[in-house]
Amino acid sequence: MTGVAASSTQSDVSAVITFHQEGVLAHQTLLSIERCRRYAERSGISVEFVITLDTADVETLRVVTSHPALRACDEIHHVSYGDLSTCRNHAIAHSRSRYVGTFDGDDYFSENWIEHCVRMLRAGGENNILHPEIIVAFGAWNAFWRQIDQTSEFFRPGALLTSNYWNACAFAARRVFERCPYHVSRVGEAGFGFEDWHWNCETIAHGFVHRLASGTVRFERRKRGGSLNVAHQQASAVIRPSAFFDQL
Amino acid sequence: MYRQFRAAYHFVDKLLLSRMSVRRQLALKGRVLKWARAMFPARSLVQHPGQLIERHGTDGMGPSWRSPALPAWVKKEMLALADIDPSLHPDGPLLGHVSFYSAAWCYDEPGQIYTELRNAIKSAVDIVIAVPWLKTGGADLGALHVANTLADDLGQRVLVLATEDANSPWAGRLSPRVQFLSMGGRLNGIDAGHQIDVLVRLLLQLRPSVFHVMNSRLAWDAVARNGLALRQQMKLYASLYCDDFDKSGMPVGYARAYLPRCHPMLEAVVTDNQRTWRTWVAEMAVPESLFRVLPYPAPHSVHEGGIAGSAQGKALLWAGRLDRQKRPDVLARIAQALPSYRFDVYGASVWQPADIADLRNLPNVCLHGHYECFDDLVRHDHVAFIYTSEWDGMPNILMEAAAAGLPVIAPNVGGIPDFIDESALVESCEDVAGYVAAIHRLVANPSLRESAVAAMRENITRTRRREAFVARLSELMDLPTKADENGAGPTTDGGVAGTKGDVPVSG
Repeated sequence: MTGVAASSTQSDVSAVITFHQEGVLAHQTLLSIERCRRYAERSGISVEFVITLDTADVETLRVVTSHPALRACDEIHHVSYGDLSTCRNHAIAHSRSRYVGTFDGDDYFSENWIEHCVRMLRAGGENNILHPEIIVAFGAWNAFWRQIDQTSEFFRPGALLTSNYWNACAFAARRVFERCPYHVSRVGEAGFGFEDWHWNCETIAHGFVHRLASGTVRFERRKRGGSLNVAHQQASAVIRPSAFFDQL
Repeated sequence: MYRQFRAAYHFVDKLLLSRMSVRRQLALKGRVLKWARAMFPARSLVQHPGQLIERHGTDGMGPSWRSPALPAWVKKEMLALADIDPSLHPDGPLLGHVSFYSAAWCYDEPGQIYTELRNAIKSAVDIVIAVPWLKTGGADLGALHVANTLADDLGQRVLVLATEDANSPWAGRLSPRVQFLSMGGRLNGIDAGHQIDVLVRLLLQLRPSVFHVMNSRLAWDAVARNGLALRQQMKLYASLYCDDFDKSGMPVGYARAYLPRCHPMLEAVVTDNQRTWRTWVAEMAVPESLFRVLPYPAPHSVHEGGIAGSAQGKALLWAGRLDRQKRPDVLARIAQALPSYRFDVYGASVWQPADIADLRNLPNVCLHGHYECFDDLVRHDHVAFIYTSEWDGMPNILMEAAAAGLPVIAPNVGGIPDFIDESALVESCEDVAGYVAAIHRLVANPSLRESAVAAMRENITRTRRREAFVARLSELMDLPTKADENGAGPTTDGGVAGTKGDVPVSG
């Protein structure tokens, strides 16, 4: 681990951010998450960044390690897992906060994302897992959609056999991630993929409830190639066995 | 007409239906779908009303009769984020390209089918065997042998899945210890990809130690698409016996369609003869080490021990499915060449009556139709059993004839030389003169009938006893020993990130 600087202060929220080869895009990503952090701080919510650089290229390394948003409380972990799930688990294991939000290295969130999630979890209980209300995909594909709240009538458990209701970035109490770690998705070697889809199933099986943080949005960058999601689709990956499908 | 119907539906949907509860939408749209199917049977329509329900909402996304617009608060956020990434500016090109994405969030029919099938499986399983169905046929008999032996002799908990939408009258021949689930009817109607989703999910959740593909197309498709994932949890086997041939003589069938891409996923291919797999190795470069020959056990017969029929008889027996492979046209030519002989022909025809007109019109041919038991067909005046298949594996019916004590006149195709010495076979199924000569030899030399039957019975004793089958099956499926049963169970890869390696492809 490379600590930006040693800190023993416990934050309210750990923003777990995974980078590998985002290059200069990492700069904008960190600026946008810093924007979320500052917004949360105005409501008295402290936020630490727990960053993993997984076999990062030189440019990503340069951009992230020298980023102006980094503070003393933030941590950077240099790892070589070659796997997003393992990176997230690693970062969560090193996080010290009550709440954890997972962020991809090339996406943006609305300013209110962290603040709104903390407010909802404090008010509604830590059994909930929160997702943005709206996703805007941009880049190689431009589209937007509303996500599904598990308590709404649109939610059909059986639909999870063929569709993933919620994509990767989620916000929840840290104990949720500890109880349900992400599972490795080495699609080329093992044929399993969509770790977020699997995590969604596992968390439901463990009794957690996926809710929407209304008035929040995630801007999800869609690449023409090189995306994990596209790789999983092209390989016809399937999600690992899950207790969820034993309970249907 | 269809366009007007569709336009009217969309108008009513946007104006009225989409504002209703999901439950009510499912009911009403289900009815509309029924009408549409009745009115426009040629149209490709969605399969389930769940696919017609969109997550529009009316809260902040504009009037519901138009595609929802991006809410103003999202645009405001984009404006603010444009300071970081100008491409998000709401006045930039992005907003013009962003459209509402409507996914079929409520479409859960594959999930419901999965749940029904999963709940129909009453207990844990060690081995899953996928067949298209279980009805009259050599491959079906092979599946029965494998399933029953695994359950009754080798103590395995076996589940047989019938994946086609067809009856399985032979399911009643399965051991009571074997679970049987006919899933084809339930899967019928959903998208082919979703059918694979259901089967793969069943397998991944059931976690058998072995999945054995026995002529099920769906199972082959599952291995082709998700074999790598499946083999992390279980060993994959397939049974293949022979090629089929299309009308132009090209080899077709599961071996040709799937082996080249699926063989790295497979633990072994089980086959019933020594010849066909060598052709696949030579022509498709699949590894020789993949193949395991499993001679199926011979049937018992009420005639066991004796010689049936008579050299002085004036009749010949033919039995099998009347289709292109079995070459009833060749049989007709043989019957024409031997007008003084009666030909008793048994078996159902999968052809139109016109296709077997030659046979039907011959005065010395008696078409008896479907039969249940080979022993019942053998009469005192049968000289021999005639087999005219153009291609084959190792046909079970030849063992039935041998067990019943009837000499066999068969062509040198497929795995038949495993059972009858090549010198005693007709060169090819087209060799009508060869068949006629072989019949005359048997008539002229009664001791030849006896030695032919004795040779086949010796083969049965040597290679096709049930005990040998049990031992061979146990060996090639690498079934756990008693010590294994007491200790480690089947491989279970929990796959928590960073905890365990994966099983690579072989080959």
